[in-house]
Amino acid sequence: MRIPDRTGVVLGYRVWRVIPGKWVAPSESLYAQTCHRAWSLTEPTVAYCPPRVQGDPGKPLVRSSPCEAAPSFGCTCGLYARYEPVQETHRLPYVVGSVLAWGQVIHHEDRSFFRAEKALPVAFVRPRGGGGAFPRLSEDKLFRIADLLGAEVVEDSEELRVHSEMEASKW
Amino acid sequence: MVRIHAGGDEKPEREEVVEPLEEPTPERRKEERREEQVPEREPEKVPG
Repeated sequence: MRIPDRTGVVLGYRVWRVIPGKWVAPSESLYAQTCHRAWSLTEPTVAYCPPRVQGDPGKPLVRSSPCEAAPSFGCTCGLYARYEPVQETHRLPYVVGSVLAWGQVIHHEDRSFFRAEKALPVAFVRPRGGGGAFPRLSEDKLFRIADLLGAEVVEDSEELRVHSEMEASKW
Repeated sequence: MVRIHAGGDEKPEREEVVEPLEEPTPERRKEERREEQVPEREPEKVPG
């Protein structure tokens, strides 16, 4: 049994990618910004460490085995989030929001982010204008995702902070 | 115990285990919101 260092959750902010289209189920429609892995809409998302292949010129490919528990020190695995709300503007299909995170947490305080074992989205910022091929479908899908998660859709990053801090204080 | 790591060219990292008393889930959060939205009952008016 693992003894926690403290009780509660860690509040974080991050960017996701919404997969538009009716042909993709909502449960497969909220992705990390750059990874091909869907976030769960029915329970907390749990980090895992995928096997990796590293290739250097002139050297044989090296396969690294996944960490036993993600996130771990010395690896890049885990669910990423920043400590402060994302201020950069993102257009659909990218969407800014917040997460409650817990479990094993590795803090990279100098670089203003952490990696967590478990996380649950709590709020999204309403998109302002869409990029990508299907902005209208992406926006519809985002509202469906928020509904399934019981997450709020707020107007801006300041409202995101206020709402998310209140949510985090409940746990 | 919170552990601090630093090695090579890595910046120091802090590692901890944080656990909520009850794990947040979408269903649990929806329940919380429903409870918050229940309007308070008007106090009953008693004559006299």
